[in-house]
Amino acid sequence: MKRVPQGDLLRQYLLKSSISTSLLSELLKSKNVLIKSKNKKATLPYFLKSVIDAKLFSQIENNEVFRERQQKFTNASIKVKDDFKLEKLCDLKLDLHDELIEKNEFKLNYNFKNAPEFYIESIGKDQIKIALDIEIEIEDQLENFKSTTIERSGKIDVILENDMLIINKNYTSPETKEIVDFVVERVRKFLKEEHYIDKDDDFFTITFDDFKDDKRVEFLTSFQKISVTQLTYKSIVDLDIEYRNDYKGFDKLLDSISSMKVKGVNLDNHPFIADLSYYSKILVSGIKIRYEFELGMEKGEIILDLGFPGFKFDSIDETISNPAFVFSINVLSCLHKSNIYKITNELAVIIEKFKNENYKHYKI
Amino acid sequence: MAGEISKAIGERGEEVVKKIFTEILGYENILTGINIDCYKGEDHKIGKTKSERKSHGIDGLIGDVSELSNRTLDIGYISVKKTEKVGYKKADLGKHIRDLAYGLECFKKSKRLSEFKKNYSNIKDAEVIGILIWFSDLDGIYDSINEYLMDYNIPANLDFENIIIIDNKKISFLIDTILKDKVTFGADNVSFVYHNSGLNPAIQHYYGSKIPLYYLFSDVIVARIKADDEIILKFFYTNEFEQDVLRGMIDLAIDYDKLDSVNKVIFTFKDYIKSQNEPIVKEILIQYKPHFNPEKVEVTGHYQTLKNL
Repeated sequence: MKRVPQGDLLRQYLLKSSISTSLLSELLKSKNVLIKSKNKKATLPYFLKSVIDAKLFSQIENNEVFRERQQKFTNASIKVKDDFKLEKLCDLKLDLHDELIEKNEFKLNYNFKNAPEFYIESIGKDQIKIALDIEIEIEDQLENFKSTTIERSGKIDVILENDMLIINKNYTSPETKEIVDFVVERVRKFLKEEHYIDKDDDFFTITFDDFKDDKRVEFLTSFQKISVTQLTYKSIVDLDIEYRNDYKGFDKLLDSISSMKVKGVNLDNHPFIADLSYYSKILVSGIKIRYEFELGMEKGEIILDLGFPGFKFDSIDETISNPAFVFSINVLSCLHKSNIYKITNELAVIIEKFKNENYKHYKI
Repeated sequence: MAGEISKAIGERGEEVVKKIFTEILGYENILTGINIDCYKGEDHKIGKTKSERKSHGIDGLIGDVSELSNRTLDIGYISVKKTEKVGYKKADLGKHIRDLAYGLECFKKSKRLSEFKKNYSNIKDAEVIGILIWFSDLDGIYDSINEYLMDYNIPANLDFENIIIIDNKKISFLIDTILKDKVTFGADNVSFVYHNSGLNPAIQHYYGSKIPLYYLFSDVIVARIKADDEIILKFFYTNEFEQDVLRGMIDLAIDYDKLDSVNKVIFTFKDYIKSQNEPIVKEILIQYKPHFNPEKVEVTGHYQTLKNL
């Protein structure tokens, strides 16, 4: 029942992609250590070569577990030719076990619990979607002390709207994200090989650079206006902000700040999002909105977390300087905790739809 | 007059650093008062100085082949700052870090570093660790700089790999624990215990007289003490008592004492209050009984007070 791993076991644990380098750097800072590198390999030795106490380790563990279990939603779309029929996707044999596990040069730390393949699901009169359920078991000596495996899931829903093929991706841990991304790439190849898309067409995902700075803020805050019976808007609670040197002198309170997490109760009328002279100068990369929800037999409160996670404007890594738009739903209260998964999924469909319709009004 | 005061502060700073590194941490060969050339005179100016910077003063230089990383030389580049008044000034933090970072940037390209490395053989890598010792010896000897540091963002134009800040809290912790035991048991009888980092050399020493520089920011430090015919393993935790921290340290103690050759294991916490914590400590020790003999365990404060007598 060891509380703190050491040596190779600790290295293995810290290398998990769900443990972010910025978390490790912040923890080192709390121990009076500053490191310049944002590279995980450069950060790891500081943990391996010092004696980690149980309190520090549980800070890493708690942060990681929370990030891993929260469902994240994002989507990608592509224009397909007229002769494409959605059920054709079921012809694509994924054989993920063989493709990802057997053919991989390195032994992966997970295994499939099922053999995921696309299937057809009816979603209304004369309308279908193609779905894929992913369930994996991750080998993890450190997750808990009773079992050496943990289970995570992911889901892909594919719908066809006119000539647009939309893939809704839902994942939790980095492992499930990796599988979801792999499947999307297989779909793209399939569409190309079968000539359902033009040679140069590719999936389209909403990213940070799709917006001018002011329009991005307006896009994020537009979610206040979701007009559906299931959701009642309450307030904007948190903001993730970066502030560039370009506007030095504009507001002396902001002058020496490069990034900020603004936590509040009701930020609706805060100048950062209500005053154009501010929000056109500030890079808002994330926003959290509180809603009340009502879904048949369930009701309660959620926080909708919208944004471009991990954004850093000065990074040379494009996935960090121009990340994809992702949202997640945190159920604050509901009648029965066992319904959280169902609530999250039902609300995600509504938000996804709103996002797709709304996005075009704000993009460049 | 101002020059004399700053000279006196400098001398006092040097004295404290020597004490910390030689008497407490085991680095007998600390080099002090070194000057290296500045290669970026214009960029490395600090404050309102008009002329280019010519050199960097290094307050202390230490080194040792790492016990935690195979064939690696750990070099500590030390900068000392002593506050003239009680307490830390937030505004000074950025200034001190900048000064050290500039020095580190030039040191890495210096002949001095190249020559320093020649003193060691069979190494394949050298890691330079910036150490800022920032203290006030007037009052508030347990003050920490961490609150200010958490708000500090490293400016993009500073080029360094790492800086460890040793503040009043850390220095007082080392004095209350290691130095006190060295005085009680004799410096030669107190050694630092080295853990399994997963990167250790093939022939690893399990304990030795020098503290690895990476332990300077650990909240746990483990010492092996030879007292007459007894061997004591002593775990010092920087902060107040916490159950899980004790459990984690017991795990580590089991690992270190695989052969059951240690006579006594002592766990110490800051301001340990015996009457408050003893019931839970007893419970924890019972849980570990199959693997660890509770008879040889003592949980106490860093040093004796009425609270832990």
